[in-house]
Amino acid sequence: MSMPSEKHLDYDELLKAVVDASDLPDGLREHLDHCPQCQEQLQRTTQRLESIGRIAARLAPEPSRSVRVHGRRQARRPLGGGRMKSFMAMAAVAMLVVLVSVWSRHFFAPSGSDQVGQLIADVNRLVENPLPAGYSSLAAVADPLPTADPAADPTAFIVPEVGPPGAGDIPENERITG
Amino acid sequence: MTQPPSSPGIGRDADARWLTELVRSARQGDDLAFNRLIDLHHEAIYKMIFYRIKDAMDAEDLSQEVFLQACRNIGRLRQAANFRAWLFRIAVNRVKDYRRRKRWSFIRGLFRTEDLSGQDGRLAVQAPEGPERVRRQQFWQEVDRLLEPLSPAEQEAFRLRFFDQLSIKEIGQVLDKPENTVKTHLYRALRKVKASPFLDRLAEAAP
Repeated sequence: MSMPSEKHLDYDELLKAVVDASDLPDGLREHLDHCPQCQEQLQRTTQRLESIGRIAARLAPEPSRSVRVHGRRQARRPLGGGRMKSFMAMAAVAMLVVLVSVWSRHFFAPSGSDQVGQLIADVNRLVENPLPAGYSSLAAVADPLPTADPAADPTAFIVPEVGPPGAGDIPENERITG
Repeated sequence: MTQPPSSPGIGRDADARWLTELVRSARQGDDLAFNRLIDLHHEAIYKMIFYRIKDAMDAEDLSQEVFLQACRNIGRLRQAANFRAWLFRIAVNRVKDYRRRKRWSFIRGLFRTEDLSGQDGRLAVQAPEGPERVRRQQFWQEVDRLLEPLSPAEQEAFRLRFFDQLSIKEIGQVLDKPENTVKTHLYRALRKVKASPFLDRLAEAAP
């Protein structure tokens, strides 16, 4: 243990003592313990600073309304142990899914020349037939209705000629005639 | 709920074990215990916020938010004995949020056309009329001038130590800094404060 210092606390040492007297070197602390002059100076400085806080507390208004909690739920457990593990696992799976989807998009994306070729083919198809395939049948462009032959017997169209049974189905050279 | 000690209070006067028991009960969902904790800390938290924002109405709202946040998150408090520092830490963060919001509303206000003169929210103190009101406004303005040369960290350490009466250990917990760092901030703050002419004027205002 060092001897008490004969020197009084200077300005900086006094401020150090205001913050925390136990941080002073041993000699100065011993001196402070035995020197009424330094003790008084320290007390005066500390009181001066603390008095500002006291005045502030007096001049600040009081809270006008009280705070209350009612019907509080059971306190939530912190994330720990099993819950933390399952949370981390879910986060890892989500991250994996995102990575795979991003990677696959990048990997399977058509190259630039393929995209141009595809675009030209699409434009050509639209020039030939701007309607989508589903609408073509509805518009009857691909498969027009049969038109009536003006030279033909109109009644034949309405009432078809009926031959002997099966005659229409058998070629001429294969028919058995009596 | 456990019975209060003979002389209930905060910090030095309160029975630390009793407070710790209250916090433990509150963590288990005991509303009565939590409301008791609010009663014990409400004034300190309200004033702590007021010292920083100087607006009584907003300090009411913010202190309410502090306790609601504490109520929701009390399960995360690791050591019941650190409740007070934890509460102050929430309050410090709420004040930071409030200042950020104010800054944005100030920037938005620059683009407004209506006249906002005379709406100085910083000194919207609910003070009595007349000389007392002037005296209070003057006091807070001088406190601001006293702390003006300090860095934000030094200001916060100084306020927590001399206005809010927290210990070095508690300030470290509130600011999430080692005790030695807090001491350094305080020492630098004291050097600047001691050199300020406003210290004597403020100290002389004491009765």
